[in-house]
Amino acid sequence: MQLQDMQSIILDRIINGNESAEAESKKLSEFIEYPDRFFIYKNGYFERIKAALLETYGCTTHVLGENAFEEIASGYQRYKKIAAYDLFGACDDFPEYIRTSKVSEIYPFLAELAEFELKCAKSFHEKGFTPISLASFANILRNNPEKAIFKVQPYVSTNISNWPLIDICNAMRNPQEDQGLFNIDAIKKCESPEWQIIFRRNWQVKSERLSKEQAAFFELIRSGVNLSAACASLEIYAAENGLSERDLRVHEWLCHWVQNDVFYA
Amino acid sequence: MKRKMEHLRPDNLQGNVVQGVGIGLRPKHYQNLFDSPSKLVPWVEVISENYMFTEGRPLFVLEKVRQDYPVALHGVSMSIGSFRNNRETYLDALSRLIERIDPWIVSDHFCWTGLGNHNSFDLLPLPFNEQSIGTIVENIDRVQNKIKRRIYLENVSAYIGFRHSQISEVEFINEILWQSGCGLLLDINNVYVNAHNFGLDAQGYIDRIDPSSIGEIHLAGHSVVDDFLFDTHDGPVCDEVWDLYRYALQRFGNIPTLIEWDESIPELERLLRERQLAENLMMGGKYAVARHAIDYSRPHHQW
Repeated sequence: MQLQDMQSIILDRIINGNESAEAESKKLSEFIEYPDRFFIYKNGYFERIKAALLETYGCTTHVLGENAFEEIASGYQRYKKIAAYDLFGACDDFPEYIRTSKVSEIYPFLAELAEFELKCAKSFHEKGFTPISLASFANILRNNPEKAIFKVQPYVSTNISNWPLIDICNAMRNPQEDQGLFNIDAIKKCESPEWQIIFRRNWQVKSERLSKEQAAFFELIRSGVNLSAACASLEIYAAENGLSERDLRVHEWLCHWVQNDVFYA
Repeated sequence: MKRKMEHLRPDNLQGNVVQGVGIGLRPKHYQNLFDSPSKLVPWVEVISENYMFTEGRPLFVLEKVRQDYPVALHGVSMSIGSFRNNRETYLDALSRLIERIDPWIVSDHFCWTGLGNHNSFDLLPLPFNEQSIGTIVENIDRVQNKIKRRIYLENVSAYIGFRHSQISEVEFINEILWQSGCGLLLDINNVYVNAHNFGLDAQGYIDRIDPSSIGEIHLAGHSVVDDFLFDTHDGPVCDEVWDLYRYALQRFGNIPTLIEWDESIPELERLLRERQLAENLMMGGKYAVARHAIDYSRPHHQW
């Protein structure tokens, strides 16, 4: 038997084989010694995929519960052709898989929750630069605020969802604090889409809600326009959306983001 | 014919010598290492893939650790035994990490982990025959040319064998070492596990290994599953493996050794006690004047 053929068969049996251990063993015995031990490799693959999913999608898998997770992980194992060399890369299609699976009918927010968790995990692995300090920020505002351009750290991202993802995550992470008040089966869509910002501080990935106007302003800043242009656009946005000047707390927002290492020098 | 590889740099650590017993660097122990006012171990080993595809905290930690400790890069996804192994992306990432960390040794396994663009994340065994040897030697050549270093490959534990194997595992490994010029990372626990699983002679295996090829030794724990042993790295090294290690030290001299503990990872103190057992054997036995404290002032091997 040629090496390539043997490797193709073994890989296929590990990933797709769904026969009984006995039937599997009989098939493999043509070229394998001790085929009854083949389950070690087969189970090992599934266990690794599950471990990777649990690590990246802690809240999503918590919502699913043990049995449903086992089933969906098994489906994902057959669905995903893993080209990545690390296990984090092995589970990046999980949100898409959830979106197309039946579990989305039971938990319509689940794919968006998984996407949100994936963004958080990516933030952990992204590059970062020396953040702007509050002192430098104050300097910028003192000297030439109109022309100031803020560079957003590569590990910062935003997310928009029709579901209260941050509430769901908090409830999943702290079930004892929730004391049963949060019913995962009765989650309602938000009245309007919810924006979130994902960032990290001292290597801890964090997320916060953004108001619509905050999100609009942040996206302007991230697009590279200067502070003066971003403020002008924000005023137009506020007028169109019936917001008052009091809602536009630009200085406060910027300070908060600077304090949370969102920008780099 | 043995290949000439003068273009490869010798294993290098800024002129220093790496010796003694190291431990695997795991997140659970990061803080212990940072908080300790003095060096806790002579060197650490990391799983390369955990740092190859990240620019975040893991890499930051590794660079910080590297300031105080020599680092060994140990990979699990090179898939050196895959037919038509085209892992350019992988090798690019590994080369970048090597450049950044300047490890004292770079290693992976005598196995295959995937085919084409599909990975299994497991160390899958190979048939011991001419075709596997040809495939591996060709792949090693590609790897060593790319990373400009000698690669060390570890003997893996196995649970299945192949009917079309023509030679023994140790003959297979020796042939590859000889043809490719790569080095051997000798996992003593894997020798023991395979000897048990396939009814072989573990000491006989050690006897037949080319001593000049070994750059590092691994020690680990295993589990008993039905009638075979499973290489789980989830507990202490067993007595039989300690005996085999002692035997290997007598034959090979003091080779830098790693205690692997990857599952049910204990507190650092417990891991350090296990490390000390190996260190005691190494130093107490006075085996062959630390032949394997690698002398980096000249190429490790005459190619």
